Parts: sequence; structure tokens; C-alpha cells
Amino acid sequence: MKFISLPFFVFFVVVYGLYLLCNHRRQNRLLLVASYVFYGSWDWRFLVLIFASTVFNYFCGWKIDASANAKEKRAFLWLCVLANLTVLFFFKYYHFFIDGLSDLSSLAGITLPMRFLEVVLPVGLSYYTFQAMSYSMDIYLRGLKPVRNFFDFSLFVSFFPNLLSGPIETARHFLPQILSPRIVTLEKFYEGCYLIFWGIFQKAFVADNLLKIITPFFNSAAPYNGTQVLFSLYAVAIQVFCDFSGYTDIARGLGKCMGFDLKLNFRLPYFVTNIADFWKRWHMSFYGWLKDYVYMPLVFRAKEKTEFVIYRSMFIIMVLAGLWHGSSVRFLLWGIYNGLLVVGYRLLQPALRKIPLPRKPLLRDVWFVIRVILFFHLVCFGIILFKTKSVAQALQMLQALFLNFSFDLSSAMMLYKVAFFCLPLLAIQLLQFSKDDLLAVLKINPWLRGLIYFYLFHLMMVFAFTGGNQFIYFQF
Amino acid sequence: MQKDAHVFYFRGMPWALVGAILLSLLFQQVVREMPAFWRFCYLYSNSYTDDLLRVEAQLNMIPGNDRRPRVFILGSSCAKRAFDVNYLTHAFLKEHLSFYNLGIAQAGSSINVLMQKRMWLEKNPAMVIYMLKPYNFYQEEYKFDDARSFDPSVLPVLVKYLGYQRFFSRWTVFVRFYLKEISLFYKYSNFFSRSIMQVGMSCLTGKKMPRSELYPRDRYLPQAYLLDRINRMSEAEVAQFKENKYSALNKECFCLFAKDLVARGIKLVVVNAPVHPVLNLKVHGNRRFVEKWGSAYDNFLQNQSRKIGFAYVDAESLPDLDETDFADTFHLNQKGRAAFSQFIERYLSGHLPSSAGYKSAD
Repeated sequence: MKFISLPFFVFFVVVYGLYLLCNHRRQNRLLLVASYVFYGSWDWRFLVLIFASTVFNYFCGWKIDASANAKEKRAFLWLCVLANLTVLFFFKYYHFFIDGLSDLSSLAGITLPMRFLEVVLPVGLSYYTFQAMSYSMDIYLRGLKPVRNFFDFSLFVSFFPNLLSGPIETARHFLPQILSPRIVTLEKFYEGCYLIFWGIFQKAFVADNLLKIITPFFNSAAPYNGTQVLFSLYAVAIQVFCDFSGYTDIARGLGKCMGFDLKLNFRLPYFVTNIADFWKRWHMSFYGWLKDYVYMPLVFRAKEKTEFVIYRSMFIIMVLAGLWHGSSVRFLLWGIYNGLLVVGYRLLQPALRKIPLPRKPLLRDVWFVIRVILFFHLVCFGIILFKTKSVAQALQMLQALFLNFSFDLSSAMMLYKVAFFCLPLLAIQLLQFSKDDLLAVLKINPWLRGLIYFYLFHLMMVFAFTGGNQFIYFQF
Repeated sequence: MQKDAHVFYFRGMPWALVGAILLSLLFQQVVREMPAFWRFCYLYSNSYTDDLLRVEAQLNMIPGNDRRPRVFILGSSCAKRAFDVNYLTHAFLKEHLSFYNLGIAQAGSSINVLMQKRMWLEKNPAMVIYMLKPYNFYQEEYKFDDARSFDPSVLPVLVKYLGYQRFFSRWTVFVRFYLKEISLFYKYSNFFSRSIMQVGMSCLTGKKMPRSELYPRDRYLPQAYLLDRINRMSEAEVAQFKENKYSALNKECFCLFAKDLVARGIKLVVVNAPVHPVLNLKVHGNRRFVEKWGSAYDNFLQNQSRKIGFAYVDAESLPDLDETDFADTFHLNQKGRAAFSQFIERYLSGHLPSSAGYKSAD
């Protein structure tokens, strides 16, 4: 059941109608059943895995809490983490390792008698695994009390709006919302509806249409034109953002309609001037998770808390984040690229602070815009590794960027198409940025808001819903 | 209502949203009433994918004060490319007849034609020419999901032949049809999205937007090419043509369509679609198809013609067309179209719509 589909719409309307009629306890049961129905609609076999994961993490939580001494607690925590990661690695990286092993053995002239399993990656596996792990970690690290009711914990793991692509919730943020009654107010309902609408717009209008432009380009063979490479990189940057942010907004909107407050995942990530700010605003729930449960332990448990330890931890986080996106050398390189940027920025920060800011407000704004544009190009540069099909193709595109940069008619046409689909998004984001409010549209003059809705409606009617591509981040 | 479900404590309506929806409906209605809009659609619709829009545009371009009797030509792309409406309109100038080619590619099956009826009925045609071919009855698909037009009156027939389970498994198709009825822009989103992008491209390149062609790919294909193509049809492809539940469905739809037209006093002429000689004679699989189903199809239409009272032009009555008259296996080229239109002119001369009864083809 795709999020942007009629079956899901009917599913949600039915669930929501029943939800409003139930009391808190029944709401939780209803949501649990709905979540399992939703997840089972992808493939009923996935239900076995999510159920097993739920049972295992539930008991680990209890064991960690009930253990008498710290050593025992730590042992159960490690058991929980290793078991979760083993499952995740098996489903996500099995092919990567088997293929690698096979390639290595064939290089050595040995044919290994390996029987390959056809392993299918269950959708949303890494999201709910990370979410479930946060439960045990919060019990261990922050003294969270384990949940008594198994069904409530099951709902925490499988809550359908964020099950497939996050935002990755932490137990300390989301469990209290499950355990206490939720208030559905008119404001929350409207905000939820707006987020759903805006999410659909980002996905169905911006992301899906940009994908139609970039797919043929990235499927084509060299030689490439540098300007077209550049415009296609812009398109990919916006497309990936809108695809993921669109899903998150829909998930948050659905949650909001039901009185939940899911974590924010994106906060205008392209309106920043440095890599540190970027990762504070991009896939915030995931990087927050890594910061809380990987970075902090790495730094604070190190024997000496030197600058090197911090750099090393930052770098590890970025490499891990790269590998989380996929089991290939390109993602590893992309992770290294981001790690180097993060570390490099921290190293250069004292020098950068010395650059004097213009005194006049207008010049200061211009300087800010210049830095935003420059930084956006750094992100685009990394996207070459993220999007290309091979390292060789990435190198060919890089070569074109620097050695074959000419603006011709086909480049102009590509720019026109990319701009056509990005400008409405940019306009709304500028409004959000200027008001420093992601729900700024809801707070402007109703007449103007009506006109914005009218315009966006028509764009969607004409350009959206013409195929329905799957969300990219489902595969992660 | 439980105490923790306060969604009904609404203090106001989302007026901006309501206003945007109302404005959108109003805007679409205004656009529908604009002749210039339909003219644009007619001129720039795509010959392959926008047939329905072309047909709707044609119907909307008919002036309200035009009282001339109209002849509507229905069917698939075969019909679209077999009739030269300009020639026919000119030929029947004295009788003040005006011909409209409403053929829609991939929509020649009776279920589609039945559903399209709602679109043109209010234009009061005096005569309808429906071009049909045996394949429309014996294909193992009913061409509904991608049907270009929808009429809810067909739903009981669908339930009858598909069964409730299959019918309800397609509920999203029906919902989409209703959404398309509400929104003109959604219904023709392919055309609008392409046009908007092309306007921009035209500005960049300085080239004019390409106009639509009613008769695309009119070139002559050598018989050897067609023979080779048909011979390469797999057994499975040939085997898909058989009596199936869609045959019964389409036959019932055909009868409903014919009865309704006759009851409304609209003359109906059912014409067999001309097919390339290679299809009738030389191809193993197709010969089997023609032998097996050709006569059953013919008998059915002959019987219905007598029962319901419409004219039927069978394959034997069609003019002799050779390979140079065809663009491919089913579609006529310019030469074939001219010959076929002349034949229709001769045929219709004896069956012109008039208020004084109906002269059967028999």
C-alpha cells in the first residue's frame, strides 16, 4: 500500500474514523492492528520479522531494567544491539559481502561453491530496528522505565506513519505519547492536513517530475556536457530532498491528525552555509540517533577526550551514515566525502570566524546568499557519488564538470525543466525561511493562502500522479 | 464521543482551502466554456494519446446555432483513419450533413463506445456510424482500465460478467474515473503538462509547437514487412483471440448501445473495419481466427441488425482494397481512406437520415 494511493487514502480514512470513536486504550489497539495490516500489505512475511524484533527488544528492555548489576545490564544491552545489527546486516549487506567475496575469490582464481540465498530487504527494516534499539539504549543509558504493556511497545515499533521511512523515533520521545491519552485539536488536525498536502506536493510534483528528467541523463553514457551535469546535480539534490522530506511530512501529518507529534526530520537543509548546520537539518532523526547512541558513547567513553577523538568520532559517524544508505563503494566514498567535510569544517572554523562580515544588512544578506549557494554546490558535488551508477561514471561526470562546460540549447532546456519544478518549492521555502516557521503558509493572509493552494492544486492535477514512483528512502 | 477525541470541537472552517477548491471548480468551468480553449486542444492534441481530448474538443467546437444534421463516426483508430470527414461533408453538402470523426485509438470495443455515448449524445446526431471488427469481440481483455471515457450505467454489466470480486478489485479505476469527471486538468493532465512544457521550449528554441495530425504514419508499408511481422506473432498471441467472458460483455454492451440509439431515433450503421489482405488470406494463425470467429461474429451482427433495426455493412460488402491502401495491418492510408470514403458516400446515399422511417441495409 503506497502512501500516495487511493487504497491508502481509504485505509487511513477508515482507521481515522474508528480512531476518533475509540478511547485511548482502544486507539492504541486499533493503531497496532492498522500498522500490521499496513505493513503486511507490502508482504505478509515481513510481519514475522517485525513481530520477532518486537518480542526480542521488549524482553531485552525488561532484562536490562531488571538486571541487578551494571555488568549484567551491559551484557543484555550488547546482546540486544548485536542481535538487531546482525539481522539488519544480514538483510541489508548480505549481497554486498557475498558479491565481494565472490569477486575476490574469482580474482584469486578460486570458484567458491557458494549457494546464494535470494534475500529480500524488508521495507523499513532499518528504521524500525533503529527505533527498537533506542528503547533498550534509553533504558540502559537514561534510566527509562520499560513498558509494561507489550501491545503498547509493539505500537511503538510498528506505528504505520513512520514505519517505512521514519522519522526514527526515540523511546523517550515517542513512548510517552503512546502511553498517555492524545488530544486531537482542530489546529493539530489542520496542521496535519497541511503537512500531508505539502508532503504529497513535494513527492508527487517536485520529486517525481525531477526524477523523469534525471533518470535518462544518469542512464545515458559519456561524454557528458558539464552544464547538463551541473543542472542534473541540482535536480538530484532537490529530488532526493523532496522525496524524503515529502514522505516525512506525510508521516508527520498523519501522526498530527491523530494527536501524535513525530520528530522533525528536515528543517530547510539547503538554506545553510556550512556542513555542520546541514547535518543538523537533514534527516535529523537519523543523525540525532547516531549522535545520541554512537557519537556520544564514542566521545564520552574514550579514555582521553582529545580533539582527535572528536574528529575520529565525527568521521566514523559520517562513514556509517554513508554505508547505511547502501552497500556499495559509492556510498562508502560519499560517507568519506562528508566525513572529510565535517572534519575539515571543524578544523577551519577558527579561521572562518575571522572573516569579517559586511556591516550593511543588505550586503550581509548577499554574503549569506553567496555562502548558501557555495555550500549547496559542495553538497551537489557529493551527490555525484550518491547518484551515479559506478565510480567510473562519477569520474566521467566530474571530468565533464571541469573540462566540458558549455551552455547550449539542450542545457537551456534542461535548466528550464528543472527550474519549472523547483521554483514553486523554492518560493514556499523562502517564505518558511523568512518567517523561520515551517508552517508559515498556514499563518499568512487567508486570501493569499487560498491562491497558493489554488496554484499548487493545479500544478498537482496536471503534473503529479502520472506514474507514482516509490519513495527512495524505502530501500534504505 | 470519547473525552480524548476532540476533533469535532471545530471553531471554524479552513476557508482558504475551501475557497481554493471552489475557485478551482469555477476556473475549470470557465475554461470549459471557452471556444478558444477547445480550439487549442484540437490543434495541439497528440494523435496517439489525446484522442479523447480531440473528440471532446470537436464536440465543444460545434456551434450552438448549427442546426445541420450530424453524422458521428465511432470506433477505434481504424475508424479514425478510415473516414475522410472533409470529403464526406463536402459530398453531402446538398443534404447539409456534417461528419465528425470521433474515433479513439484503443477504444473501439463496444464497452468503450457505450461509455463514450454520454459525451456526444447531447449533440443530437442524426446518424452514427460505428466501425467494428471481430477482434473487438474476441480479445482476452476488455480494455476497461485504460478506457478513455466512463459512464456509470455500464457498472451493472461489468458486475454481471466480471463477478463481484474482480469488479471490486478494480475500484480504484472507477474512483479515478470520477475524479477525472470532476477535474478537466486531471483528466487531460498528459496534454496539459506536455503543452505547458512545450510552450516554454518553444520560447527557448523559437520553434512553433507541433500541431496534431489526424492521420499520422500514413506511409505505405510493404506487404513483406507486414507478413513478417504477423508471422512472428507467437501462438500465445494468436490464442488470445477466443470466445471469452469479455466477448459476452462486449456483445451485451453492443446491444445496449444499438437499442438505445435506435430507441432515440438515431440511425445506426455498423461497418466492418477493412483489414489488410494478408490478414484474410496468408497468415496461419489469423486464418484460423477468421475461419473460427469471423462467421460467428458476422451471424451475431446480422441477427442483431434484424432484431434491433440497424444497418450492417459486412466484410463482403466492403470495397476491394489492396495492400497499397493500407498503412499497416488495420489502418488505411490516404489512398485507402479515399476509396473507403467513396464507398461510404455511395452506401449512405441510399440510407440518409430522414424523419421518414429507416431503410435497412438488407
